[in-house]
Amino acid sequence: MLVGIVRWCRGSVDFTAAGKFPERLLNLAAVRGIRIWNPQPVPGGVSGSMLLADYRRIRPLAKRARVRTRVSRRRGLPFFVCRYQNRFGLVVGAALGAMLIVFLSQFLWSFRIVGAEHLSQQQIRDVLAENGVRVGVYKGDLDVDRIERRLLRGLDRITWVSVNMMGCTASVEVREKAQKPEIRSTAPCNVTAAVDGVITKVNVRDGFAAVREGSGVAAGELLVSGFNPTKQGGVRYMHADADIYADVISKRESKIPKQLDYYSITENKIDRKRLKLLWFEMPFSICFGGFRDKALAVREDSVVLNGTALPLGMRSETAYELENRQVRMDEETARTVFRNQELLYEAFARPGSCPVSRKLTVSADNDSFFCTFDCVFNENIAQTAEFSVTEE
Amino acid sequence: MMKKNPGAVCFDLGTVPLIEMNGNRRVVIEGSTGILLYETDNIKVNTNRMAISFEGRGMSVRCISGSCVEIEGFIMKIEFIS
Repeated sequence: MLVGIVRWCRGSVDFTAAGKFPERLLNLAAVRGIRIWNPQPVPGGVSGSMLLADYRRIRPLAKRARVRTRVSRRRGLPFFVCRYQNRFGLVVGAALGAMLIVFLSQFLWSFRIVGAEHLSQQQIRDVLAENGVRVGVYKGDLDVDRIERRLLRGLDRITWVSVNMMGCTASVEVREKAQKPEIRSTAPCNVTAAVDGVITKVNVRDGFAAVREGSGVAAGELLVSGFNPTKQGGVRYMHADADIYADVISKRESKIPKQLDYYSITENKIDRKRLKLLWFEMPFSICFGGFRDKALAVREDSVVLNGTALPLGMRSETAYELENRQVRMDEETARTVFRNQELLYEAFARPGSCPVSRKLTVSADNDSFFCTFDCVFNENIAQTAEFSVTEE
Repeated sequence: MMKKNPGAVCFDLGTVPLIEMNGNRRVVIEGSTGILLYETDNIKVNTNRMAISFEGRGMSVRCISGSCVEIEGFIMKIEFIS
């Protein structure tokens, strides 16, 4: 293949030599180092191929061999250039294209992030952007070692990072830190009450229960003891472990104004598209007007060729109109809002609790509604309290 | 001073052609001085001492240089003409 490329670049001809002594032409050419490939006997002579430069040299040899040479086919770059030599624009365009490729190869056009499983790629991209690594930046300005160090400092959850420049693509390979295993303590401890409550269920795995169902306990009170007195009069210390469920009273207050500004999305929207090419962006759709209050959704798509994102893409912006309304709240609506607040509180602030009773008391003054939440939750109030053991 | 043994047969290996054959399909002649005849059924190659004639069918010269000729084809007969 390499020989074929060299021959194409230098130009070659297929020729036919016909006359008295065509074999002599082959001999003379071989003696003078003129390479003829694929020589074939034809009626009255021989045919073959040779480089264009050699064909000019065999004219005197053909005269000595008394043969007449005739070119049957021309191939290669010199003939191609000759064919288009009058089309100056083609040559200039090809040269400019080559220069453009060389110039654009000096910039970074895409990222590839490998190894981010729990970490979002956007976080890595943000840190890269903070350190000047973004699409379109000159590759000569990038100090890979410095970028790697800053990535390690900027992202706590990675333990190793490698930035490799492969052509116009930056391949960022990260290794996330291994999750810390949960280590269960075996140090001697008691179980105490985290909050005030009335015990409803006692489930002791280790230790000796100090309370029973129906007992009322205060926060910090001993529930399960880690001291185990032996028959010999000594004490054995253990890691007390238990689930102690109790009814716990929760009292909270909340307030919402009677009149509030409320933004809602209407059905009006405007789509704008912008074509991204290299460093430039240009409008790709025609639309006029705008909204005073709007919510913007942006989406960027790039053309991907063979797994590599090209510096050509589309940026779609959708603007949704926001309507500002002043809502005057009545007591029923306020009650619904408070009720929803309470449900959210139970779901997210007390996920392991089971509500036993729930009472919402709504009151109002001139400007606001107030709500007092009186609830009882059944939840695990056990908390470990380690103690130190010192032998005297 | 050593005397030459007149009974010994001496070969001048420096001028005889070296012929290497792969079956009857390909032959390389080193020490050739040129091609005398080039046809598809007969190729004659000249060397310093003799001319060698290859007869067969579908024969062609695959490569030719100043002192080496490579012939390819179905060779049926080789004749040494001196």
